[in-house]
Amino acid sequence: MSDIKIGVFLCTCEGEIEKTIALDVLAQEASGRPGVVSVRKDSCLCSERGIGAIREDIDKFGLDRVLIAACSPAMKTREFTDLGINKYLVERVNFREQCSRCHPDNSENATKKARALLGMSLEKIRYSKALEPVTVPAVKTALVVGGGVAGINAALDLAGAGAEVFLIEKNPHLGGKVSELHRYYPRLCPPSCGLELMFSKLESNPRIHVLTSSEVENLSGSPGNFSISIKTTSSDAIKSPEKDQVRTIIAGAVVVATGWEPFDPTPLTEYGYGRFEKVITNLDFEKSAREQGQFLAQQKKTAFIQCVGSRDERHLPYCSDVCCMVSIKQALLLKQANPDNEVTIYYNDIRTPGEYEAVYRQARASGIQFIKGIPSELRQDARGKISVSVFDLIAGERTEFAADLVVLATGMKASRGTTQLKDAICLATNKDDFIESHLQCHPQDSQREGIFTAGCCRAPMDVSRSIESAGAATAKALRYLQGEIAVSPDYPVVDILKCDRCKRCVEECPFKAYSYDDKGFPQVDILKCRACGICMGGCPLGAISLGELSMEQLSGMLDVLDKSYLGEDEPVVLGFLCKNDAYRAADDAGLEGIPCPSNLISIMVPCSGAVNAMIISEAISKGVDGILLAGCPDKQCHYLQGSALAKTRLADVSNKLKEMYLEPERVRFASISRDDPEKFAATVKEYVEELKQLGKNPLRIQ
Amino acid sequence: MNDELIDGEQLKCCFHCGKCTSGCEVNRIDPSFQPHRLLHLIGMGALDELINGDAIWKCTTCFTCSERCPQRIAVTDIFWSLRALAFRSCPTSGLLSAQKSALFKTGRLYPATVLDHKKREKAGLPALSENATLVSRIFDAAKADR
Repeated sequence: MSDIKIGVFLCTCEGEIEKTIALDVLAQEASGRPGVVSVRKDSCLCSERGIGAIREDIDKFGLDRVLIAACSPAMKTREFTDLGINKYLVERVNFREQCSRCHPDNSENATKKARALLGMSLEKIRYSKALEPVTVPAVKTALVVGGGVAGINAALDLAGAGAEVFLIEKNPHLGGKVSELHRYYPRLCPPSCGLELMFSKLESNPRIHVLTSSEVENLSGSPGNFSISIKTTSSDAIKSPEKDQVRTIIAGAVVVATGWEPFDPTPLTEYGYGRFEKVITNLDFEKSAREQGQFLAQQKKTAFIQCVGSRDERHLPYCSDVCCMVSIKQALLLKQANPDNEVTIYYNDIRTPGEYEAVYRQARASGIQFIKGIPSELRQDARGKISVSVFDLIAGERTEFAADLVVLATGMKASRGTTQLKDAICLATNKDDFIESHLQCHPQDSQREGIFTAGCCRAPMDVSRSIESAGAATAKALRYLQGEIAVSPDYPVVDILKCDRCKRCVEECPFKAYSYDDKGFPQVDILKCRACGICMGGCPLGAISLGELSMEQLSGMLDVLDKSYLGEDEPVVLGFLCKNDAYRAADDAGLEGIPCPSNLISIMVPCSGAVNAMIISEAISKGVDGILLAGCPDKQCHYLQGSALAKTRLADVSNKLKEMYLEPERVRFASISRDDPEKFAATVKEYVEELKQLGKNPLRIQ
Repeated sequence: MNDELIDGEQLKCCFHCGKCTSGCEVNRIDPSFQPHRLLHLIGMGALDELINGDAIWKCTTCFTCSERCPQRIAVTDIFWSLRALAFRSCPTSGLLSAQKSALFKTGRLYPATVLDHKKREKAGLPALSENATLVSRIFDAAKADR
């Protein structure tokens, strides 16, 4: 490594950084460091002139490593990646947000900290390797599981974008639950109209292959080249040939659209569903309205009960999203068919967001009675009428209604198809059995790369939102259907010379990216990997490294860090800050000028779960006084269990320290939200004070 | 709020559907008794008012509300707790107070009459004991002021 040529570039940021940090002194020192062949100070490195200067030096000195000490690495990423040198050979040192900006009144300490950061980065860059994106061939075929409205739309959208599509449906016919409906809302048109149009588009599209009476048996392979075996059972299907045929489809991406099932209200015995003939569900209502011509007009006194089974901790704890609008739609249809029908809706909260509010208003205007209050039970009188007795919460008194039909607004639950598929292809579901990964930021993703969700298999939703989600799933799936997939080289690499096949990486990977090679060593499927580094953090032998941050680099950085950079009596805290949240919060603390002790040296990690206990122990043994591992609050973790795992691992280190008669307080976990720089600064301040009380790490070499 | 007796966390989950009151048999007879309203008042911090009022004594503890509450709030248990709180802070005068001291001293609310003794004898039941130790232990367990 003696022949490396590092160029160091220091930015004054129009004089701002230099006001606090003695850049000239640092430049002078850097020029004497091994491997450094050029040092340049510039007033604005990110400007066209600055970039030009970097490029010029790269040519002039034949630089193969570039170190930029300027603003946070989270900023100006575009400017500093395209320098004519592999971006993995460019290292950024955070001189502005985490030095000059956060210690403006202590020029001396800010410079000391900057010196320490620069030294560590110079060490890190020595081990950096040029990495190139990997291109993996992929087929241009997609598989859509489920032939309901979401699946059909996903198939049409995918085929429209040029993919070959296999649409499989377990029933002998397509259409799903929508084919059981009488009318859609909000326009109250018949679903057959929309479905027929969709069917004819399916028929006429040569790129779409429909397989009815078919189910997925299993799935193997990677995104881009999934191998899915499909069993077709009956012969009466529209298009599927012979009996019990098993075939294999190679697909680049899978869209799961396995739909929903109605909640069966029988367990709510107080409403007598199944016992009282005149108590039906909203889906029964659709069937009757569709099949019996006079059904709507015949009704005279109809009651709707909302939230039956939904928002109920004993049954479905969630809101089923559609039931308010379904009841309002059905009530309107009744009112239109027979204006004398005394339609009453017993509700808890009416939820009609967006345009649906107009339909709600229309329902109120049409004379439909809305009563806030939920009946506790239904009774059937001698004439077969259903007596609804409710405490009207607005009127503050009891009200009675003898209905000749009671419709229970039952909700949606995950379908059996979803549960079966989840088992067949190893998909993660949430506590309500819907397929979910990170609902807020990646709603269409499953927890497996290349597999996406459309419609109600993700959450209860109505027809228009199902169609919308089908479009979103399609857009996501297209990345895997372009003939090849480019993968960023950030994925982990396992050093099999160190690996003892303990399988921890395989077990802990939230995205099931690991499998075993023929000798039983773990191998990562780069297409399934999201480069969170949880495997790197968990490996008991430190055998796993990420492309952009290796164990070797971390260890090297610990070696060169001067553990007394602020003086003998000042503690040194090494902060491992998660890229998405804590590191950004630390930057913001600097930007907002929130004072933060200069005792913290931070290292950016992709996830707090990527920090290996070996590194933490090593840091303590090398004399660092305290370790601050800062990740996002548990439920916000993009990698699902990163923060939680980090906490567990840190607790183990803490116990180990205790056994070694060291203070367990020398390691600490902090949940720092992206938008909480105050908490970040306060946490560091408090921790530094605490470490001062504890005294120097006895392992620090004098 | 008395955290020891009333689970405030659970109470806060009430989303005012009114199912408890709709199904309340007492409410059918006495419309002023409204379980959902009592829960709301506890949440609003009107505990003293409830403890000193008579509403909490009207519940027949049939458990219909608890059984059907979609938020799984133990409504009946909360009323029991309110009664226990009322009992603890019982004023020194008045009927309740008199009953309380009678209960503590003799182990029963009303003195047994000659008729009672005769009935028991006829039914083959043992004679009533005048020993109040068991009741006294219950008083201690409930931390009730004697």
